[in-house]
Amino acid sequence: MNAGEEYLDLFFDEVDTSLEALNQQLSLLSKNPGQVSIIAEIFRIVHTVKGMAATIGFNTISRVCHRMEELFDFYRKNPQEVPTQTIQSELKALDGLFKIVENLSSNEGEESSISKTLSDALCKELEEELKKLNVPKNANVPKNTKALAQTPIIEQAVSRERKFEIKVKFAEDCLMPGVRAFMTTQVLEKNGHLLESDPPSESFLDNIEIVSSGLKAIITSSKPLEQIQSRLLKISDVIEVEVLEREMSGSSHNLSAEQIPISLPITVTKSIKEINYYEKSPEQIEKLLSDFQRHEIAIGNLNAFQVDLVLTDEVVNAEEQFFNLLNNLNEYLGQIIYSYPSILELGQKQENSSEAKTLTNLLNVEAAKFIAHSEKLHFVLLVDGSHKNILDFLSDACELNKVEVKEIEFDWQKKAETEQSPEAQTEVKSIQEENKDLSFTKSGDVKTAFVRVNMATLESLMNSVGELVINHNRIKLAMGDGATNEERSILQYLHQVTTKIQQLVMSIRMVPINQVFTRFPRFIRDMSRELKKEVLLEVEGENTEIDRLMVDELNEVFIHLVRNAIDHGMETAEERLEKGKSKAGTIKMQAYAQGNNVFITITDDGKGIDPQNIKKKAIQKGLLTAEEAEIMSHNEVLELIFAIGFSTADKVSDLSGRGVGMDVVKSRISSLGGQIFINSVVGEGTSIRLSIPSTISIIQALLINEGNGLYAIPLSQIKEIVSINVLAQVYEIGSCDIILLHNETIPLIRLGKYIDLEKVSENNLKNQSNILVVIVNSEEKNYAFIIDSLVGQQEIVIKPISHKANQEGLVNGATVFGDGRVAMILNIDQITKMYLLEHESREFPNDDTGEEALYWASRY
Amino acid sequence: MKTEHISFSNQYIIFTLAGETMGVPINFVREVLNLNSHNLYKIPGAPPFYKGVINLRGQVIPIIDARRKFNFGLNLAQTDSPKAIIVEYDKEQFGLVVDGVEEVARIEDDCIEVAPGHLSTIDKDRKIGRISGKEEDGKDRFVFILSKESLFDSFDKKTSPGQFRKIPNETLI
Repeated sequence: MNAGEEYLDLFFDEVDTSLEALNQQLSLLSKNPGQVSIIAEIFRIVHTVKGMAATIGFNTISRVCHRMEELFDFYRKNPQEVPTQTIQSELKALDGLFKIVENLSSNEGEESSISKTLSDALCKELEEELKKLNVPKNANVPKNTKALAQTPIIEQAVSRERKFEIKVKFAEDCLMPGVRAFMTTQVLEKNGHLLESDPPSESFLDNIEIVSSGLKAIITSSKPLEQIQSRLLKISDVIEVEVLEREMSGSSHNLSAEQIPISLPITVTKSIKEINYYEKSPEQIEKLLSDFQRHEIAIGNLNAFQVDLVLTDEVVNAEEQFFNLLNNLNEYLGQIIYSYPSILELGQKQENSSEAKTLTNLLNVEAAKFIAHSEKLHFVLLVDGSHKNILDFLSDACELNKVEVKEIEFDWQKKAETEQSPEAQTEVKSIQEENKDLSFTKSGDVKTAFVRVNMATLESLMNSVGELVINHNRIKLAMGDGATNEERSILQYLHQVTTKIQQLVMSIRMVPINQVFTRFPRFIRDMSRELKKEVLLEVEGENTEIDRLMVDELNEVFIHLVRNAIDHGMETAEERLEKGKSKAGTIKMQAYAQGNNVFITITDDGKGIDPQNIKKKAIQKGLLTAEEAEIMSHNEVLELIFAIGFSTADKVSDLSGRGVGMDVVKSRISSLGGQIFINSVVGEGTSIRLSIPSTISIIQALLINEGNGLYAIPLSQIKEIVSINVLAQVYEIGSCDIILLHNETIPLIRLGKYIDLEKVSENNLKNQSNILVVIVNSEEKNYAFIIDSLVGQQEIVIKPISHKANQEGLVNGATVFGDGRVAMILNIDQITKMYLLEHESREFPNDDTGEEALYWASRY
Repeated sequence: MKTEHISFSNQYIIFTLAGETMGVPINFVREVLNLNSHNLYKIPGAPPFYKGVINLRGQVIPIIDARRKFNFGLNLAQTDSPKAIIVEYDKEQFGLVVDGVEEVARIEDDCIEVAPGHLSTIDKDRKIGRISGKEEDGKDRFVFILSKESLFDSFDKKTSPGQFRKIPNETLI
């Protein structure tokens, strides 16, 4: 994989996460359309996505995001309820973005015509929405632009400066127009005061139209016209600079005290702070703060913090992250008065390194240098808030390895006083000295950071740990009884370490099931809209942890189940009211962990499943005869919906009932080693319960010998192991044998018949007095398997077996032992299914009393 | 010494199976190893041409009995020291049991043609390749070329449960 692709992967990963978060926020918003915090969060996410896409050059994405952002910016600035229509359009745009991203990722980053068309369509729709609001283009920063224009008024009043209008054009193949524009304004700042720019500097980074429109700016400067022009032309990709002198407007000369803006403490100082970017020594922070204060009118209750942060090693585009981070901090949190490296440097580096990356020329020494020194960032931030605000913002914004936030103690009041008297200059110095000692002592809490790990890496780590466990057992075996005490204690320690590593790796793989649940609020919303049914979602136990590998599998299963619940289960609002139910139906998703298993229940309060309908359908489809249907229990009937090719929907809707049905869900769950149960009461609703192992790579298993082979049975399915007296406890009923145990009749299955083709399966029970059986539970029913002998209980590592070699699914993989032996892990569910198939697709009566069994015996 | 661009694309592992000489493309092969039948573990319910699995450095790899898979040479005696050619297909590894592995040979594309009718049970394309002057008498040697697909295609289709269960009067492996 070359560096470019790696960069792309990272992009897709980040974008996926962001879009997923956006999805969640939009769903939240639809419930609370007026909540400002949600709107701000959406704005932030869209902004981030836009920035990422623009940096890598995906215009299809950034254009859509730009318009989404404008919409939300309006609501952010003008708090009011966001109309449903707008949310709908945004959701549509989000779906479009998902599609574009998918398209991009399948085309290895090439923007195809499909994504372009899609992007165009989405932009158009969002613009329609924008028009309704009467927001002019680029209106997302009106306040700031105004503020910028007002800022330097103070300085203007005292200096003799001229006013220039400057037009800058960029080369058409310019790679990072936003950064060029940013650099342009930096140069302008250096040579004078930037009054205005079009587009405004806040929207540079993601404004891709800047190439065609160019940049217009108005500055005041005491420097000659030619000098400004020549400096601007030194910026690469700037191809044309036009400088016109303008008349100074009279009002700025005759500035009265009342006109000094008091209410904009942060934006007012923009120009000051940007000048200070060039300061690199931390000793000057004090000075920076007091400088800042001198120009500040309403200082308010701002706190100063010194922040050091280190990104994780995985981050390849640290420069860019820092660049975006600093810009975002300035825009959303507070005021950066100093940073190392500076924003300007970062902007340049970012440009260089992305150019290098575009050429997939990461080996280039120049570019490599930038990457190597890029993980650390130091800055001083003024903010109206606490440690926590900063930490939260930072951890949201980037992947931190380490971050340290220190509050700088700075007595604004005292400073202000001392500054005012010129006689006190010496005193100021000494106070500054003192403050320096004190200033960095108050240390903030250090936040633990998260690392993003490729699933394949984790998988291979898991395999290696599996090897370690196996080899540990080998050593133990090899040393045998002759081990010395020292060897034993080493082995003991090794065992502890191995176990610890194993647990850690397992815990890394575990993610909250919320990752599966989060997409449902949106999904349910869309579906209920489409089907004109009102549905509420309740989620419980969303922090229950499951193996990351299961997340994708479960997603599909849940979508299927929830879709079924809404489409088939839920009544319309009118029907519900008629029945005396609440107008809106409820779907409840619950998860909890028990032992090695996670149980997930999806319950709806809809109309339930009518067993008569199922019977009718099943007979119609030839799955069973009317006579068979007659004698089936309620649960047996319900379980027919898991039969292959069964679908009870009267009409095939767009959303469900397409023939792939519950049978697929069931096979998916059992391939994960789980089970599925259904319960339904007509008129009250349906509940589907899934039981899945919380992890799919290491399980507790019972090892048994049967025939010539060694096999493992998952311990989670074993109820007990008993020795059965053939004469007293085994009954023969028709073609089946059953045993009577604790007053329960349990089908007796010769395991060897199903798993070992060599073993002669003659009916030899009568020759034995006692047999060893394992009572296993499969799909809430018990079965007794006859086995030859027990080996023991052990934790085993599951190794997959190619589906090609395991088409019948009788095993769930294999495990490898320390001595190199291999044992098959039996899929009990599949074996019992084969047993049932063999006995004419009829389940064996499995009720509580022995009398019942005798009744069945007579019947057959 | 001739400098030549080395390409794996025209190289084949040449092996013998039930008296026939065959080749598989080398880029399809991961390794070749000696097969010890004691280390084979059966897979319940597997198609009959699977001899079982082996433990290859911790990975569980299914072993295909090529004779049975291709349904030929079943009556000929097997060698004492069978080899397994480990091949990769669809990101999974499989072992192919053969009688012996002879060499790695280059067969240019223009030396590969469609074979006459026999052996059609193996591969519907029936490709054979010609290796110049490899026989003892200096004649060209012909090998049957096995495609990846011939090994896996025919049973990729979904099979109904129990299909492989009833094997008429044959003891397995």
